[in-house]
Amino acid sequence: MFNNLFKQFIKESKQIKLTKEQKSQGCEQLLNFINANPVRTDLTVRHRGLWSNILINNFLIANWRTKLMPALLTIILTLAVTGGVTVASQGAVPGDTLYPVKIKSEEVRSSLTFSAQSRAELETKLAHERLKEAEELSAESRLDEYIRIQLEENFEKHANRVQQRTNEFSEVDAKAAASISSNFEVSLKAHDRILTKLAENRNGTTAPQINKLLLKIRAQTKNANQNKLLIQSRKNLNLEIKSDSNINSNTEIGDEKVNTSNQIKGGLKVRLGL
Amino acid sequence: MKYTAKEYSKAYDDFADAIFRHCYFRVFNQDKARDLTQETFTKVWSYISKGNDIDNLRAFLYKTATNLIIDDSRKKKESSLDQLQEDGMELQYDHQTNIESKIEATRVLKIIKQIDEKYRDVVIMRYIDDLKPEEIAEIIRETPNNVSVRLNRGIKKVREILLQDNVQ
Repeated sequence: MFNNLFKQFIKESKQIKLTKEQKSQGCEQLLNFINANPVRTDLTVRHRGLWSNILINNFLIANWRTKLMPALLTIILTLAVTGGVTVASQGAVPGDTLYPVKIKSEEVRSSLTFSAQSRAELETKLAHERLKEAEELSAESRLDEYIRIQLEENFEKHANRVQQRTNEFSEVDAKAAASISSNFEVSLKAHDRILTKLAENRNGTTAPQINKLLLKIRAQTKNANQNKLLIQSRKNLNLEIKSDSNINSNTEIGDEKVNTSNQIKGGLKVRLGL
Repeated sequence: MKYTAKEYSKAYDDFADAIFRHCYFRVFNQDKARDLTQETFTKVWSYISKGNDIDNLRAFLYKTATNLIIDDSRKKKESSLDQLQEDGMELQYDHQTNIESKIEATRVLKIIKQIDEKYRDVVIMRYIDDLKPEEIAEIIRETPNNVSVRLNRGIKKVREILLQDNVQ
C-alpha cells in the first residue's frame, strides 16, 4: 500500500520541472554567461600534457615564492657571473687562469654556428687569435715549448678547418670561399712577418720556439694559397662552361685584387700539373 | 575534471530540472526557484572558468544551490502561507493544459510541506533526485551515517503522511 503511494508520490514529484521554454531560455542565458566568462586556461590546459600540468600546478604556482624565485635568481646570477667571466677571458693568453674559459667559449660559439661560410669565417678568426696570442707571449718572452705546442696544435686545427669549410661551400659560393681563403692567406703572411721580426729581437728560448711556429704558419700559408687557387680555378671553370666571355673579367676578392684571367691560368696549370 | 562550455551546457540540460526542483521544494516560489537555478549554474561556471576542477558536478551543483537557498533565506523571509498556496497553483508543466498534473503537483507540495524540514531535504534528494547517501552527506555537510538515520526517520514520516492523505 505504502510502496504504491510512495511510488506515485515520487512520480508526481518528478513532474515538477522547468517548462521547455523556461529551460531553453535559461540555457541561452547560461551560454551568454559562459561566452562572457570563458575558461581562462581553457586552451593552454588542454594542450598541455599531464606532466606539465602537474609541474605547473604543483611546482610553478605552489612553490613560486619558496623555491622558484631563489632558483630564478640563481640562474640570473650564474648567467651574469659566467657572462662577465667569458667577456673578461677574451683577452687571456695561454698560461692565464681564464684561458680555458676562452677556449671553451670559442667551442660554444663554434657549435652555435651552422652555415659552412660563417663556420669558415669563425675558424679564420680563431686561427688568427692563436697567432695573436703567440705574438703577445713572444713579446713578453713567455713562449715556452709547452705553450708553443699547445698553440700550434690549436692553430693547425682551426687552419685545417678553414680549408675544409671553404672547400665545402666553394661549390655553392665560390667567390666568398675564395675570398675567405685569400684573406686567411694574407692574414697568415702578416703574422709571419710579425713573428719573424719578434724572433730576430728575442734572445734565449723564445726565438727557437717562434721559428718552429713559423714553419707551421708557412706550411698553412702554402695550403691556404693552394686552396685559394683551387677554388678560383673551379669557379672559373664553371664560368667558362657557362659563358666564355666571362673568363677575362676582373674580380676583386677580399683584401687582394686578383686578376681572374691570370689566376685561372695559374690554377689550370696547377690542376693540369704544368 | 575540467568542463568545457559544451560539456557544461549539456550538464545544464541534464540537471537544470533537478536543481530547479531542489530549489522549489525549499523556497516554494517558482520565480525564485528559477532565479536560484540560474544563479547556481552561473556561479558554478565562474568557479570552473577560474580553472578549478570538479569531481562530481551534480553534487557540486546541489551544494551550490543549497548554499544559495540558505543565503537567500537569510536575506529575507517573505513567503507567507497564502503566497505558498498561490505559487503552488501557479506551477507550470510541460503540458500546461494537463489539469491533472497541476492537481498532482499541489498534492506533492502539500505532502512535502508536511515533512519536517530536517528530513525533507534528504528524502527529496534521495528519492526524487536519486542522489546517493554519500553525495547527500557531502551536500548538506553531514556524515553519511547521519544521512541514513535521517532518511529512515524521513521515510517513516512520509509513510504516515501518505497513508493519512490516502484515507482523506
